[in-house]
Amino acid sequence: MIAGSRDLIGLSRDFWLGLGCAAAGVAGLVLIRLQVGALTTPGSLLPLFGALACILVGLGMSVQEFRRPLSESDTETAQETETDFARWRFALIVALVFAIGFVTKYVGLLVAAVLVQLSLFLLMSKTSPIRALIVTGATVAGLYTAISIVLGVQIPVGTLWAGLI
Amino acid sequence: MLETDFLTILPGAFANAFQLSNLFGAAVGILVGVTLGAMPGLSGTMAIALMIPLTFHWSPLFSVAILMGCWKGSVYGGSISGILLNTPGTPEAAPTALDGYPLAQQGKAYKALVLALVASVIGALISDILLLVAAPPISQVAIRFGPVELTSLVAFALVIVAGTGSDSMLKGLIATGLGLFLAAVGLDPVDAQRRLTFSVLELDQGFELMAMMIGLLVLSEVFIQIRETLSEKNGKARVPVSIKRVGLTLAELKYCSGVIFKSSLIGSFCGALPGVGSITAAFLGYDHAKLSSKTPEKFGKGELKGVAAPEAANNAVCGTALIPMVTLGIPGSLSVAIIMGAFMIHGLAPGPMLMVDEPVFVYSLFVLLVVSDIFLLLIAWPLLPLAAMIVRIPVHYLLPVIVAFCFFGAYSTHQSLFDVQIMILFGILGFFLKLFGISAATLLIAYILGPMLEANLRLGLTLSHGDATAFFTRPISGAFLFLALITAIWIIWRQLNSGRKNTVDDPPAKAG
Repeated sequence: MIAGSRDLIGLSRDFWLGLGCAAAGVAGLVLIRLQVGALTTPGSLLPLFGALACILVGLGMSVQEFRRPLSESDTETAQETETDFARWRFALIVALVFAIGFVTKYVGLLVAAVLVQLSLFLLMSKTSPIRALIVTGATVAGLYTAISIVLGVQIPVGTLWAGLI
Repeated sequence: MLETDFLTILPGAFANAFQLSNLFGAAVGILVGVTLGAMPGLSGTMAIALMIPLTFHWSPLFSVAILMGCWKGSVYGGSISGILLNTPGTPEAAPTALDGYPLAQQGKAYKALVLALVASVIGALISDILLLVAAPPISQVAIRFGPVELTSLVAFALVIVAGTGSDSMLKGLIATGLGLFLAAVGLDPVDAQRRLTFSVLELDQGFELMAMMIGLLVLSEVFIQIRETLSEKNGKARVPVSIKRVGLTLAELKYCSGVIFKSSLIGSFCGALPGVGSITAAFLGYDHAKLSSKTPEKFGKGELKGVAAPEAANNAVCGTALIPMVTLGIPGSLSVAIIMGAFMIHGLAPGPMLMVDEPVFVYSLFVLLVVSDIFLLLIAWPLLPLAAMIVRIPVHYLLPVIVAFCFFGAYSTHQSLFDVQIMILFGILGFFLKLFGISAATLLIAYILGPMLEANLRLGLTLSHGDATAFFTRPISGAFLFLALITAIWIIWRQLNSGRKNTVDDPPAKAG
């Protein structure tokens, strides 16, 4: 979908963005109350500014979008550049990066870097597996040399292999 | 600073700056910046954000030399792919491509690349000299500011950044609100109470700035690029124009000299204003050159001035953009925000006291900036024949490599795997922000300025015994707040006006 385009009931994406921000701001207020204390305490001042800005501006944006007359660009069919397959593949890539980030503790940084690179190369399907392996190997070796050997930063091996090593 | 102090500091600053390691740092930064800037899709901010974790373990001056070199290099590098492919490597190189690509098609690619380089170097030099001249007196004024004035100054800066960072002021304000909210996570700076940490110990110090930057600026951009790459049906082949060595003549340089000088001043002025970055400067420089030309019809068809003007303007931003940071502690642009993050990682607090506490460091940095300009000329010129090879590297090779860099970069700053997770979460957040047209840069600047705002606001309220009118009645503070109000009104009026103009150009198809 294109920014500014309208959904089936004739409301723009910015309308929903505004509502979402206002809801997030309200959630922020609840969080401040639960995690910081009364909204009048000095410690609440900064997060309160942020939450109130989100609520007021979000509501303002929704009202503005609701009142805005439909323009031609809104009624044009959104130019779908993505196929369903590409969309799912992209979602899978993001999910994989997310998952690998959270298993890094167990598999170690080097293995995580290899995994994330190989997954991206393979899911993007623009590079042959052999080339993907070569580039991945070279990158991880280069990064290990720069970070661990040259800078002396200890790279975590991962709890999964720690016992084996 | 007294004149005698300045004269005492200068030899030390020169000695520091001309240490072999620092010169090497500047040269490496330029090389990396030009290379990454030349690749379409990889911006200068990405380059700087990726370099910071590597520089964390080195001396502050060496690190900042690399980062500044990287920034300057990437601003010029963007013009290479703009001229050779008609695809600007960085957004600020977009106006350069308007005349650079037609020149390349006429077999004058090398001439255009050399002219862009020379204009970039002159623009950067003029800007650095202005920084050297303007920073000390501004700093002298700024050290007299109390918490009340600093609060209003930060509020003014936030209004400008919110108004200019996104296409709509409302979206800018949402980014600012989100940034301020996130800045509150961690220990309360006054009474050390935990705030919004959900009892996660790693969050006591707030979100790690580097992890956040890498996520918001680099990983989110990688996600965007991957999405675009997956959507490409046949994988657009980018064929750069061949480079014939037809050099720039002195007469041609003389022909462009006036435009280069004026655009450098335009760029320097834009750099000194918070929120007005190199993209605006480049377009203003181009427009000025076109409007002041006797033959404006030649623009867009391969006019040399059309290459020189935006390049001088966008590079002239780099030097003066440091003025608000060094003198007031306010990052005026995204690149400066990242560099400010690097300062903070190295224990340097940008702001009025920086020039008082670390004068040798600051002047060494100024000297290194001038040296970087000369290095840009010396390093980039011999590499120009290789430019066609650099821009040909497919972006799908680079994206997985960059993600691996992100993992290592987020980890290495504090050697914490928790930071890798934070980086990924902010990467996903940044992706959605970009999708909705909300500026991640504005969020990041608000996040950096949040603690400064809070500390000064609370101190100001304590000093004025809880009387908030002090922020309006003290002259300097009141002036900043008045300026903030005027700026907000002007930005909203401008956006409403352009919205109305668009509606006239694009009449309603049917009633709401």
